[in-house]
Amino acid sequence: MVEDDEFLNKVYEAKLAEENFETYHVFRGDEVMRQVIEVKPDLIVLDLILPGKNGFEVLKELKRNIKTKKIPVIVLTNLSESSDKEVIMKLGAKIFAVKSNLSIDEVVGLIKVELSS
Amino acid sequence: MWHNIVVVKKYTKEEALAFLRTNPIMSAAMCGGSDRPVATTLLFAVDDDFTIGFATKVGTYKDRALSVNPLMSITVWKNNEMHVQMSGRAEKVVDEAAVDLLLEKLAVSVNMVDDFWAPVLKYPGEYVCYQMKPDWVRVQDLSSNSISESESMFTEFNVDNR
Repeated sequence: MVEDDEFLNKVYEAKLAEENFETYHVFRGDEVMRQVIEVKPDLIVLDLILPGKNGFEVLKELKRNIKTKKIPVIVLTNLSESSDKEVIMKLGAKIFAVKSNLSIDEVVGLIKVELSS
Repeated sequence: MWHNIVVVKKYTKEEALAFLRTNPIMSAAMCGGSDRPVATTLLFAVDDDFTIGFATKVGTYKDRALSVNPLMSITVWKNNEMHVQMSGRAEKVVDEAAVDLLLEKLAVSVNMVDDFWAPVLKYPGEYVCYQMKPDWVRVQDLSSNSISESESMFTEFNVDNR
């Protein structure tokens, strides 16, 4: 989970733990690559507005690196412009979702679907 | 002649705490920042001594009101079950580890409610956490379906925060 809202992170973590997922959190964009290479997650949920480095740049970096480019990325953001979605999908995200349009259960549902595909 | 026997349930602290943990949204009233009282709904987490923890964003009405007047009163109820009332003094939680722990407890509370996005999660800004140590706690039985004229429907708990 790449999300700078500490409470939201804990909410996701509690919900995902109920579903037997192990989660790791990164709060800053400029720490994502190091953590992803170390942890090797099955999936990344990425916010776009982050301290250090924004989610667009993070996604670009993830998709350029041979060690990380195959990890599916769900972008979960409050940015809802179609132009943002277009850029994100071109950069290689699997899903672009707007936080305010989804319940926590629906976020977990997206994660499950993506991991089972 | 028929007598209607009404059984008023008296609750234990553990029962009241279990109710609060599974119903983690409270109505909270406070009066600070203006002469007018205000009531609001808040997600909360409860400790074994009935300390109520909650979070808001820095600069909200709640944050400003409590910084002027830390006294608050809360209520949590569920139809045909229980009604809990408490009053006490709210204090800002400043210790980083305590804030972290409280947010963890609140995250568990969020997930007690189906499909719930706590409003505090929807707005940008920095979190500020509070704890209210109650000096008065009482529980009302709402499970009886008839009126008792002889027995109080309230159970009052002693709390050591006066």
